[in-house]
Amino acid sequence: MFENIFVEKEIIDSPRVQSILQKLKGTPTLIDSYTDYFGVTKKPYLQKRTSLNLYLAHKKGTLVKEAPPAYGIEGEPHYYFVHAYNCIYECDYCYLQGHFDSPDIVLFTNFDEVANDMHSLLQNRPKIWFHAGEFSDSLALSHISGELPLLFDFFQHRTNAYLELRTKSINIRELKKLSPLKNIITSFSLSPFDIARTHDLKTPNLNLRLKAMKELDNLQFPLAIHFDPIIYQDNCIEDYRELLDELTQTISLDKIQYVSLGVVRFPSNVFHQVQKNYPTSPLHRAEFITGPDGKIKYPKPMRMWILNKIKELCIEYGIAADKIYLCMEE
Amino acid sequence: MQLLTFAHRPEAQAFFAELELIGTQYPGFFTTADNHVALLITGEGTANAAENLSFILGRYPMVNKVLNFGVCAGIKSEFEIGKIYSIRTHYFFDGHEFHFKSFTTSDLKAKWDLVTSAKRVLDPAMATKISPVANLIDREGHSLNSVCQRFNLPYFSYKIISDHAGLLQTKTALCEMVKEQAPLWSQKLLDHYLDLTTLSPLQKDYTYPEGLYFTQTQKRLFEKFLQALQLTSAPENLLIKIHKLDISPKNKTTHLLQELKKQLNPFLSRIEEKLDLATKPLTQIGAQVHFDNNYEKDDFKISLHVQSGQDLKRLKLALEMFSYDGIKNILNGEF
Repeated sequence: MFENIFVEKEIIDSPRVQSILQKLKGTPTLIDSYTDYFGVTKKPYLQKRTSLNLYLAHKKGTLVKEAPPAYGIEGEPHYYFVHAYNCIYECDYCYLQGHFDSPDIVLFTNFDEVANDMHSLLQNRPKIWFHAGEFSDSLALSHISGELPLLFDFFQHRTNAYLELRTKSINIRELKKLSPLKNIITSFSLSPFDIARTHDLKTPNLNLRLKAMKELDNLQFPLAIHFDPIIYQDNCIEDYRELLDELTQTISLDKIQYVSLGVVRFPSNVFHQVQKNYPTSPLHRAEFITGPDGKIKYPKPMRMWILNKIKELCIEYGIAADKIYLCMEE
Repeated sequence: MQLLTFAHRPEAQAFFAELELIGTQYPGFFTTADNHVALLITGEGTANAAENLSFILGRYPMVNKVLNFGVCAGIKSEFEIGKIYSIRTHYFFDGHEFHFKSFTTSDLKAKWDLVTSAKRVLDPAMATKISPVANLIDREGHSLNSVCQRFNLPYFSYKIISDHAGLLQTKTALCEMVKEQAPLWSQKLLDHYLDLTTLSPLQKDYTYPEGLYFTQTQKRLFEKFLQALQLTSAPENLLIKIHKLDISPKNKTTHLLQELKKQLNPFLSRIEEKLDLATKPLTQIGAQVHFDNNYEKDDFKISLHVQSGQDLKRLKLALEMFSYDGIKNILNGEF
C-alpha cells in the first residue's frame, strides 16, 4: 500500500507507533519532522495511485477546531479533530486535491493530546459534537491507526459528547470488535449507484456500503447518512428515490440518527485541480457558477430545488423532518 | 519541430551521426536539413539550461515538443547503471532546501520522479536528505521542464543512470567515468529515442461553421462550449435552424452561442423560462427586470422608461398582476 514509511524520530519508540509499524511491510525511514517533506514540494495528486507515502507524526498546534457554520445539526456546537491528512480513496470532487500540496497520508499519533482538548471543550456543555473525517476517511485505515478503541474509551464516559465517524469505507472490522455506544455515530456518505461509480473512484460501491450499514445496524451501532455531495444529472430525483428504496431494504429509516444533504461545491483552487486531474469528468459539463463566496457550485435556484426535492423524498420515506439538515447551505 | 536537449555534447554524439545534424548561427544549436528535428546542447546546471532553452524556444516558435536526454544518478542501488528511465515529476533542491514548485512531464506512463540539484551530490548524507522526495538526481531537468511549461510545450525526459549518488566522492572521478561511458550511453539513448512512439497531448481541432462571424471572444466561448459538450463541431440540426434565420452572420453567431449555452445549462434555462413567464406582466409593457447575475440573491430591479402618465398606469396594472412570492419561490427552487 505504501511505497515509503516515514516516522518522526521523537515518536519512533511510542507503543502506538510500534503497533502501527507491526501491521505494515517495509522498514521506516526516520525523519525529524513530517513538515520537512510533506507539502514542502508540490507532489502531483494522482501520484497517490502509484507512489503513496505514509508519515507517522506528532500533530502540533490546534488539534480540535470549531467547525464552520452548517456543518452539523443546527443549534448544537460542532468541532472537528485532526487525526490524519489525506485519504486512500479518489473521489473526483474531493476537496483534498486542492487543500494539501501532497496526497501522501499522514497519521497523527498523539491522540492523548486530542482527548485532552476535547475534554476541556465539553465541560459545562449539555451536548457537543466532535467530527472525525474532515481531512481523511474515519474508517478506511482504522485497522492500521488503532484509533477506534481510544475513541470509544474516551466517549464511553462522556455521554454529553457525541462523535461522528464520517466514512465511505466498508472497513468495519475494527468497529465490530467494540461495543456500540449511543453517542458514537457512524455516518455513511451515499450516492446513487451510477453516480458513485462515476465519481467515487477506488471506493467501495454502493451495495457494499449498504451491506456494511446493515451489519452495523444489526449490531446496534447508531447510523447516519450523508447524501453529500449530490451531483445533479437527468433523473436525479428518481435516482435518489431508488437509493432510498434500497436503503429501506437495508435498515429501518426511522432508526437513522440524522441525514445531511449537500450539493457538490468547490473552492476555486480545488475546481482548478479537478479540471487538471480529471479532465474527462462529467463535472465539467455541470451548470456551475462562481458564487459570491468564491465557491464553484450550482446556481441557488438549482441548489435549493435539488435539496428541497430530496428532502421531500426523505420525509416521504419516513425520515423525520427535524432529523434532516442542509450541509454548508444557509 | 521536435527539440532534443542534452547537457553535454558527448551525451549527444550518437544523435549527430544518426540525424545528420547541421550547425546553425547559434552555438550549441543544430537542426536536420528538413528542420523536422533540432538539437540543443544546454550546458550544465539550471541557469544554463533555462537560459539556452528559453532563447531557442523564443527564436524557434515552430518547436512543438521538447525531449530531454541525459544522465542522472540513482540514490538507491535498485537503479541499474546504464538503464534508461522516463521521468514523471521534477523537483528542485537548492543545496539547503526543496523548492515548492514541481513540474510533471507529459509522459503519462512515467513512474520515476527526479530531483534536480543545484550542486552535484557527492556526499551520501546529501543523498539521504533528498531521498524522501525522489531517488533520481540530475542538474537541469526541473529548469527545462519549467521553461517548457511557460511555453506551453509538451516535455519528456529520459535519463540513463550513470552512478549511485554519493558513492563517487569527487567530481573528477564522476566526470571521468561519464566521459568513458559516453559513447555507449549516447547510443543507448539514441536507440531509445528511435523506439519512442509519438506522445502528444490530445489536441482537438474545432470546426467553425461557415456563414457565421466569430470575434476572438466568441471563438474562445465556442471552443469552451464544444469542449464541455464533448463535441468538435456545432450540432448539424442546430446549424440548419440558425442558417434559416434572416439575420446577419454576427447575430447568427450570437444565437448559436446562446443555443449551445442552453444545451450546456438545461436546468438554468428552465429557471430562466420560469422567470420570463413570471415577469411577463412587466416585460410586456416594456419594463426590464434585472436579477442577480447568478440568481444568488432574491432581490431584483425593475426599470422602465416612463414617457407619459399612461406608462405609469400600465406599470401600476402590471405590478398588481406581478407576484413577488412567485419570483421568490422560483429563486429558492420551489417549483
